[in-house]
Amino acid sequence: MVFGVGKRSLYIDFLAVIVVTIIAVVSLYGLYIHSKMKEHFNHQIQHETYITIQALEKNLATLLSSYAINEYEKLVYTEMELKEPLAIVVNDFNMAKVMGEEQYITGFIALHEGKIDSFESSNPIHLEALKASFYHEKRHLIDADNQQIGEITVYMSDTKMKQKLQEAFIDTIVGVILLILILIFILLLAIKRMALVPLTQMTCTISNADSDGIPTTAIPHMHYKEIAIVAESINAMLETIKSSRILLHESHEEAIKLLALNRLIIETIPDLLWLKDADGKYLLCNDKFEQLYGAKEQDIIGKCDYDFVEPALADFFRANDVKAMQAGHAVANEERLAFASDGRMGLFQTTKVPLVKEDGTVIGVMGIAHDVTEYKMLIDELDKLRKLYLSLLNTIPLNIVRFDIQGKITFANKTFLNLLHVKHEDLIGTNGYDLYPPMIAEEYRQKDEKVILSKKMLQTTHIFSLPPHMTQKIIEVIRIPILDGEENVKEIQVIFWDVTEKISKEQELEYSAKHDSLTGLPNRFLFNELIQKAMYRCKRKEKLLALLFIDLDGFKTINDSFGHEAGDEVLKTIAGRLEAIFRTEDVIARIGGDEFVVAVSELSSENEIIALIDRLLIDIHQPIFYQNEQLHELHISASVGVTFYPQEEDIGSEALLRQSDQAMYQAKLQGKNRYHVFDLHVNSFLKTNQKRIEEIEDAIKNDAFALFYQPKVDMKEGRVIGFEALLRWQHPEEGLLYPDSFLPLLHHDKTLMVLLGEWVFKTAFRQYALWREKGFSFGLSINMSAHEFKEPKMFTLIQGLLKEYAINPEAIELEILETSALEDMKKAKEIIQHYKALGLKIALDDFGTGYSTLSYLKELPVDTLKIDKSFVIDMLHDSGSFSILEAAMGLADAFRCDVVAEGVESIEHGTMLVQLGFRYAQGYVVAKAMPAQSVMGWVSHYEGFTEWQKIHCSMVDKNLIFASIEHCHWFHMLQNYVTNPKHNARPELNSSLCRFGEWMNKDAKKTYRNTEALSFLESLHEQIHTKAQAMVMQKTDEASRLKTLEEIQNLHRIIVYHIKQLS
Amino acid sequence: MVTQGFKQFFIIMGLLACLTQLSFAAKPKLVYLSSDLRIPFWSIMDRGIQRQATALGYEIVSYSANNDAKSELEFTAKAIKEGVAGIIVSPTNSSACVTILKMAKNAGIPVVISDIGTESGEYVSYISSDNYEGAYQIGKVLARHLHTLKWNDGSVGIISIPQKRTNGKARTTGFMKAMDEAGIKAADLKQQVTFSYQETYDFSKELITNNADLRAIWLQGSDRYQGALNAIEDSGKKGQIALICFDAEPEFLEMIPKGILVGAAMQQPFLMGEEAVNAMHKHLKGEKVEHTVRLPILPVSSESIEKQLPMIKRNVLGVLY
Repeated sequence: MVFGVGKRSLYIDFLAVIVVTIIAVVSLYGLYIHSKMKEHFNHQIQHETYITIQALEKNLATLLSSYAINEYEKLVYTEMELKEPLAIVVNDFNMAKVMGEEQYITGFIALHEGKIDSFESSNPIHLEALKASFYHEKRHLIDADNQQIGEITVYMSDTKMKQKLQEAFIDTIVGVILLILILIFILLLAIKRMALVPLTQMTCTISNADSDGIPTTAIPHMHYKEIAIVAESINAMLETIKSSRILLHESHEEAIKLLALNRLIIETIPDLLWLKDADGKYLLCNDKFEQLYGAKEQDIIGKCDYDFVEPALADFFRANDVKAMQAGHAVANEERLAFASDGRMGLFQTTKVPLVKEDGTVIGVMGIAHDVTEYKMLIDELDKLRKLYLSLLNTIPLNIVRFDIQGKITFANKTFLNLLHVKHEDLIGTNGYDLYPPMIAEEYRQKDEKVILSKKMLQTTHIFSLPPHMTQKIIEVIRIPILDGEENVKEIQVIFWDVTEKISKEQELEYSAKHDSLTGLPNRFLFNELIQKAMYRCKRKEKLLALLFIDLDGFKTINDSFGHEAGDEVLKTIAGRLEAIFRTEDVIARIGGDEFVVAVSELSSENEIIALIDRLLIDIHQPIFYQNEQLHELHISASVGVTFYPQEEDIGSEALLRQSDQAMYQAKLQGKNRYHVFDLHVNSFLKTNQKRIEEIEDAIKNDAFALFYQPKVDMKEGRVIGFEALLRWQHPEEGLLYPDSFLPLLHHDKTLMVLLGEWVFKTAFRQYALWREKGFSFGLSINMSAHEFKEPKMFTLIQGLLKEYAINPEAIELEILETSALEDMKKAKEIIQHYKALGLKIALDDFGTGYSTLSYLKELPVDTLKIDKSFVIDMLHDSGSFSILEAAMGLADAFRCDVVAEGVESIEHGTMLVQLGFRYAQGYVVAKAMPAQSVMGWVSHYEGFTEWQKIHCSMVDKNLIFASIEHCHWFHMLQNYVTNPKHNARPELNSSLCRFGEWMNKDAKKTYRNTEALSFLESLHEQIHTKAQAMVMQKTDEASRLKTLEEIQNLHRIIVYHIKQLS
Repeated sequence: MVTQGFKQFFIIMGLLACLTQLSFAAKPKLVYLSSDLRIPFWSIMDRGIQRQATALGYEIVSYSANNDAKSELEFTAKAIKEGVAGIIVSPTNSSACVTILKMAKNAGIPVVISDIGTESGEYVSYISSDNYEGAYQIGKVLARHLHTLKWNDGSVGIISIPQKRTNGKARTTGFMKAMDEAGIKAADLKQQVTFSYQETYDFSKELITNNADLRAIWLQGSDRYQGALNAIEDSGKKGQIALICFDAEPEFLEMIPKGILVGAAMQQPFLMGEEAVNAMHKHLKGEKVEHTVRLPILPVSSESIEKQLPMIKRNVLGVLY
């Protein structure tokens, strides 16, 4: 639809009005501005003139009076340049006088823009220009004496003003035109956007209508109030029209939907559904029903049952229909139906409901047939199961009874009925709690409530008093909650059975487990339980507990002499005597072969027990008669260790027992048949050791131990022959610890010592295997403590390690301490032979410090003697040590052992050892023990010492070595004596009585023919003794004493040197 | 016969008088406008002008404005009224010279400026001294002196004429060039205001006190030399600080050889006066004249004074005997 054809646009009229109005307004405004500007320029010219003349007036007067014509002319010129007047004219009265003229006029005039000329009073153009000036102002120039000395006149032209006005006019015109154009543009744009565009939008929207002429879309939201009101009114009208149309449409749709929903319900329902009128003709049926008659709904509607089934069945259906219609309410019946669609048969529960109109007229009947075939089958199945379950419950030998939460019995099996000797019907319905006396009933009730609350099964053991005679039985009971659909406990099923016999057997077992079968006394296990109770009791009552550890003296002898039966008799008798001495509340136990413990509790003081112990010792010592083939009078005594509880520090029963054991051991050591009270002070020291031992245990676990390796070398050949593995402890607080600081603690702790030994052997073997992979071909020595040596476990371990790492056993040498391992020579020999049988080598460590007898070396098949380092260290100045080394060398030769000298600390030591015939050495001068990772590097660099390699043993004169050592020994004694005379023996000061002197006088003179050398040595010896005598006898100050000692030392060196020269 | 004789006498006398008058009237007149003839410099210049003008057959009149602007203008107006052939002017200052030149131009009289100069205006020639070169040369004299005494590590103090004057700037620049070349540092520069004895004395004292290493004072004038000498003596530095001057005083002819003064740069006022007249003469004859003439300044030291003495006497001091 097109609106407004042939009408003039509103826009044209708007344009005309706006243009005329704006031009008029802006032009008037322009005229006003122009006149204002003119006025402003006039004022500005006058003001500028005033400023100029004011400035000049002041300065010119001074310059005029000082005849500085050029200066004031420059000033005037400058002003001309700055202010741009038409002209500035100065009349100088002074100069007029000087020149003898009427007036002396100077100044400047600017006739042309930018050009300033000197004013010439005679120039008519200049004069004309002045006359035509727009404005001028004249001032008199007054000197300091108030005399008029000249005049100044400033002339202003209006040219500039006119020019400015013209420029302003043009600017205004241009501005006005621009303004007009902008205003027109903005106004038109505004009108268009604010009014015309919305109106056009509205008309466009309205024109876009449907076939009914109703606009299809609403008029969009309008920004301006007035237009928005119009648009909203139109929209409201449109909405009303549309709503009416939609409502109409929706009612129609609703009706269709409702019909579809009804149909859907009818079709979705799993049952057969149909409607008949009062005459039995079908009005409607669903698809399930269609299957029954094997026909489509449209074929069924309008027909009756007689058209589809046998007349008899049709009669049956009809009769039921009529019954329902007559009854006026639903009527149900069961009927077996055969489906025409697939021949299927089914049992159906059919409900027929009369269809009644509002006025009560019955117009038909609705039928619904529900298939109950499967349901019926399930019911039958369940019934069978129930019967099976009942027969099971009734045959099982467990008592089963079920009751509700009020206690009313709902079920009881035959076992239970038999137990109670009642009939099922007599019991059912009765209250179960009434079967028991009130107290027991209450106990049961509490347990049942627990099950009801927790909804969990509960298993308990009760004493069950069996009605009617209340025979007591021990029963095991299980209470099972039976929940309903809402998870609430509906009933409780109780199952219980008799365990009386089983329990009594267990008790017997427990008794035998906790008691000594011989004496009937508690054993160690029960004792531990009982003593803890006793300790707790004493602590609570603030009483003392005395723990006695009783060990029979000489029991082994009785056993050995008279047999075990006699021993048993003794033990039984002692047990009886102990029971006789102590109270029943005291704990008496047998914890070992001949070891008894007694915990006497609730003592008021330690003294109370002493009397008892005295009696105990006497009673035990009483003769015991034993009859076998003949009657024997046996005598036995006891050593008793005593300790008390509580103590200052908290202590457990195990530690208490250990204390009493230690005290008993002390009693034994003190001579037996006595008691010893545990000393707590001694104990604290032991505790410290104990702490250290615990640390060692931890260190083994935490791998805090390490093995260092010290090389053994062949001094003559300068090569490495092997390493000795040495134990180090990397202590977290104390740093690296040597074995001396911790191993002695383990001497009495065999277990730990062996444990540590195992660690050592495992580590050493593992390391050796690693080296061997890298080409290591030396021997490895491993130390073995006395405990390890005697421990068969160690043998097995080493045997296993040799296999595990496939190590050649000859490369491994076990170093056994001479002093500790060889206490039992026979045993030692046996063990060594075992190890040797494996192929291992055996070394005797620290040789020389122990027995070192010829016989034992002969007995023991050792491969190496390791000479104790104390001899080696002292050998240079101790002839005793030297002799031992010499002897050891002899022994080794005799028994064909290798000898290794330990503690070689200097090249000098090594030299002397080589001279004595030693070949192998170990010590700091070679290398200190080093970590495993350093070993390979060290070996690759070791070259030995040439000093050792060049010695020819055959040429060594041991006599001379001995002589040197003797002299060294004498000098050391002197040195020590001088340094500390109180604590050191004085050496022999007489030259012929000292041992070296004796050797000189006897052996040397016989052996060595070089008399010249001998007499020189003799004189030196004499000299050194003279000096020593003087030093010792005369009381000189320390400084001179030390100086003399130094001289003596030099002499000593010379003597040693000359001794060597004797050979 | 007597009458005849008288007649003849009067006729002869009259002729003589006419001749005399003629001869007098024929001499063109020059005027020398001096700022102050009381000052020796201008007085010596005046003598040079007088001598050369007379020698060239001019009548010469000298007016001394005594440093007064009004007098200077009055003398100018007077000279113009007299219709002189030319004006030689040593103006009171270069600004006043502009008005003189303007007045002369209006009257059509040529002007030669002798010293001082003008800010603007038209003139025939400007005769001046070469202050820059003179100061440079006297600086070299001082540098040599200090080197000889091995005082060249010391500094030189300057008491100058106002530095806004062209000649003041030229003097300082020339002198400093010589000092820079010799590697001698300047201690300080004090500008004269009153040109008095006391001012010179005070400035000298300050220079000596403030600069421990001061080895010489250069006075850019001549007449107040005694102030500087007294200050040196009063500071106990006599013989340790040298004095050197610009311009000349007659007593310098004795003081320089005695070593009281190291030397002086001497302008030649007598010669300047002569040259001013020569320029005017050339112009009047219609010859081309150099617009600017710079006359040398004599660097006088004890070594050179003897040789330069005749020139100093004539051109500097205006002594012609």
